[in-house]
Amino acid sequence: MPQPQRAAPSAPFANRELNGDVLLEELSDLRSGQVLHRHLVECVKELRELGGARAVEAAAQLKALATGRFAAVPPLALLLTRWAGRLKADVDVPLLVGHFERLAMVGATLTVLRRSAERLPKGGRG
Amino acid sequence: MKKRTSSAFDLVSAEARKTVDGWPETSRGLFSELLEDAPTDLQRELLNRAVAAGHSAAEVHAFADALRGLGDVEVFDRCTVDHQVAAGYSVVQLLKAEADPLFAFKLKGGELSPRDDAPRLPAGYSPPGSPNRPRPGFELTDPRLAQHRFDSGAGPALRKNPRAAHELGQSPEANEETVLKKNPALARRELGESAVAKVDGPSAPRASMGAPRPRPSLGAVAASPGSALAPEQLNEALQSLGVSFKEQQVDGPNQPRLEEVMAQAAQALQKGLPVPVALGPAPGQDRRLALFLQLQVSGKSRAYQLFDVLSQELAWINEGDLFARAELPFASKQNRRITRIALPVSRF
Repeated sequence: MPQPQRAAPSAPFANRELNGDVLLEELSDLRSGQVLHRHLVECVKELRELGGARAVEAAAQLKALATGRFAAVPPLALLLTRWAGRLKADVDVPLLVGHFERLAMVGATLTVLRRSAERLPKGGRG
Repeated sequence: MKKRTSSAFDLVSAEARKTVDGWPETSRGLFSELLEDAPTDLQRELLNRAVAAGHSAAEVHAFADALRGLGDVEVFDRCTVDHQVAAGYSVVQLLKAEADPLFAFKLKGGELSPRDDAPRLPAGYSPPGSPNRPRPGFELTDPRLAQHRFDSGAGPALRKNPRAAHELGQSPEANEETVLKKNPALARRELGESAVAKVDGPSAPRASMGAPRPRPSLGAVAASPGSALAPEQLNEALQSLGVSFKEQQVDGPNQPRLEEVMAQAAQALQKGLPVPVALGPAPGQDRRLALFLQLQVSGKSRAYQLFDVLSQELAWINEGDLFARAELPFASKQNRRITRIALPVSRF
């Protein structure tokens, strides 16, 4: 009996660098745009509510967040809108939530580590 | 391996910006983070005023550290001089204190300990936010396209240059067993019998092992001696996301082996939790800080993506190469192993 084919994520979500190079680039843009850590945390908390949502619903919710709650934070609103347009399959939704969780975690962690590095010999450049 | 750049600066007032524009890129980035880390608008305002008053980045850094742990009432009290109870001060001092909160802070007995040396960037380093830096699109990072480039022409060059191959997730180099079999001395050293370990011994003081030297600061959350990865600050920063960290040194006497902690790190990475590490030449010698971003598993092989926090190099590292402790694919070759790790735990 043929087994049902497992749904594959869309190309942007299948990219190996989604949570690597792409994430660091986005983080850089957010920091350039003066997006604070608390904005990202609030965004993550909103996105965690999407658990189990279908791609269409999630995309609509992302756009609503971009034009509503985070309209005053344009770089974050832009990012949400961009990712809303990339949601194609239902399996993309948890990957997107995970991506934003990582954005917030990596951003906060890098801030702490940059400051901690100063305590190392040669300011952490040894 | 890739060089990365990051941001400009946040929340800088127009008055401070004139001064900040003349600072090196690293100092501007640091100031941006200080503003971001400042818990209240009052502290941000004071930092901006200190910059506008002409203080150096190092002084402002120390000032921010001194204020961070204080409440607004105490901050205001320590950075302003009350004319009614300021009999001991001259008019000039009072006027200057009014314009310069850092001066007022010192005038009222506050002590700062700024670092003397500003951080230096390696030659050829492209600063964050440089205008001609291209932003990579998905097509540049798609592994399938990278594999195609590897197969169609770039392959031979990459095979000659294992580091370039690492970037594509390839590992044409010998695996860890081969490396260790070819060099029994290296194998013994990697198994914890390092000369450093023998000299220092298990009870050697941390300072002799190249331990980090905590910078004294007023009010800031003080890192305990030896906690290079600042787990207290990490826990504080990620508390709102339900993540906490447990830091430990690796490969030294009475310490877990790298292989053991990486098994736990792999589980964390698969759950999407980043894993901070310190890099160095030998156990106990923390020299650089880095962050494991993700893990890729293909069959029996594992590759980790590691980001050097200050040099902003990003590289994929085969697990075998990591465990060989012989070299990491970063520009600095002396820091060839993981010396410390902060394992994350998530409530979610």
